[in-house]
Amino acid sequence: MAGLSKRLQAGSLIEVVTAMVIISVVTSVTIIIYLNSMRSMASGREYQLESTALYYLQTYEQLTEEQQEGFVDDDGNEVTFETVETPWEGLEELVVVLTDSMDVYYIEERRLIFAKDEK
Amino acid sequence: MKLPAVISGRLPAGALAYALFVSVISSIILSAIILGVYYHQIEYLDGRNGNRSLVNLSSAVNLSLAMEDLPYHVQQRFQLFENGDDSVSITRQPWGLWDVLKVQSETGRWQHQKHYLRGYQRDEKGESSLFLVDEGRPMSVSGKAKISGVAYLPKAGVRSAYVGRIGYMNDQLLYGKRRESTEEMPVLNKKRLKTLEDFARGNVRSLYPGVLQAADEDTIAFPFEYDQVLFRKAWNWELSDSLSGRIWLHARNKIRVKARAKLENVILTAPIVEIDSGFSGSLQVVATDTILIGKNVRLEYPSFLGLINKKPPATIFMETGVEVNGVILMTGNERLFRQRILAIPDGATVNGQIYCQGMAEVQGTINGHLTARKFLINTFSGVYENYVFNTQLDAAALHPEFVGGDLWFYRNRKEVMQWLD
Repeated sequence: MAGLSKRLQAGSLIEVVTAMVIISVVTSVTIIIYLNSMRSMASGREYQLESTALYYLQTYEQLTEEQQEGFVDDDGNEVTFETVETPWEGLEELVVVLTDSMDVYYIEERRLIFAKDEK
Repeated sequence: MKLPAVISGRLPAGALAYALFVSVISSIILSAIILGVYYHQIEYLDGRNGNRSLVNLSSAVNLSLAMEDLPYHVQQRFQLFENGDDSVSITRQPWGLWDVLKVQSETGRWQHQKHYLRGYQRDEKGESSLFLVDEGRPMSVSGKAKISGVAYLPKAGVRSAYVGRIGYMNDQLLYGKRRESTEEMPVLNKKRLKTLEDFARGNVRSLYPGVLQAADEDTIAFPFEYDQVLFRKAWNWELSDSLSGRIWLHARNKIRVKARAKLENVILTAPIVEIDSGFSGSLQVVATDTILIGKNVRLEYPSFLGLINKKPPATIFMETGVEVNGVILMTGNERLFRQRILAIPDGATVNGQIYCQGMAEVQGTINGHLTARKFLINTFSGVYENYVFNTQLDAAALHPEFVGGDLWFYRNRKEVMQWLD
């Protein structure tokens, strides 16, 4: 044991500790970067889907009657529309619900439109 | 107590510095990542708020078209949906025959706004070609006159007749359905008429309380987004510059618009307004005595020629080649209607609606609707009352998306006439 102790130089312990710190830091950074990228991807995906939903909301009037019932877009997202009554006469709340192809995100956006019998 | 050798031993001098260096680098990387995440989230939320604000603005426009009228100049706030962060506001301001609507939406740091000119859809009668007051006499058609579309005529009906030696040249007396008119002119919307009277009088403080902008001699464009009105008055105005936006010029005597003037959306009010031959632009005129329009003048949609006459005689006179796109109003004391004349000669065209509480001396083309108290033809061979001579009246020729005012024959369905931003 004495021989072993002698072989363990003071600097070795520091090097081990330093190495452990570096490994911990690198591991932490890696985990954080991974989580961050996942989160970014997630929010980026969510943002993209929200933008898509808003686009469908704004172009609702240009859709065919069949599409206005609901459709699956080119990216595999399921798009449905529903209308809800509002306190304002002649106006309806148009709600677009977009469910992404992976069934992970469920986006809802809304705007006011004229009821069909009003315009 | 003796410490173990590994602890009590001496450390290499660079070890601590090395550990500190690694720690600092790690901290910087971590901070950068945390900041990255933070800013990414902010950007994401900001972008989403921007998009949502734009969608809310379109909701606000629809809301401003659907709801009953708000008082002028009062900014009314609305919560669009139940989630509580979709706030919009609407403000209504008078601008001649129409209203300017300002709609705003606010989400996060984003604020979007739009101004537009709002008009009204025509009702069933407004979509007809003619409404002629029933004075117990038939209407006579002569020359190349052609009335197409639904026509509201006196019970005595319509007949062909000669003006001088010229007889009626078409096969049918009426190219459309005939319905009975009434003995009275349609009643004008009192609120709008009062607004127009205030414009005619130059009563800016009544129409724009607290938002009067001092006149600036050099201003030639005054955007509607300023919310104020640029009001200037003089004895006479002679216009040859470019003027656009919320500019209102009032003269106590006369306004003359020269051919080279470039006017867009401005309001001119005076007893007499003259527009020189060759002028082209969009404007609203509210006069009390006379409106004279020279040859080949083109008034773009939406233009308005209003003559609100208290002391007859009064005249709206157009020369040949004139094209008016919008609304023409001639009103005043009902009993003195014979002293007011609206003259639309052969070669002049009106695309829109006309209300004539006077004598309609119309030989030109009206694509749209004419409400008239009485027709008048003045030729070398004599003066003929209730004769339609050479007039081309066609309701279907008016653009289907034409939007008029809320004076007469309108539905309570509002429309965007023109975006002003």
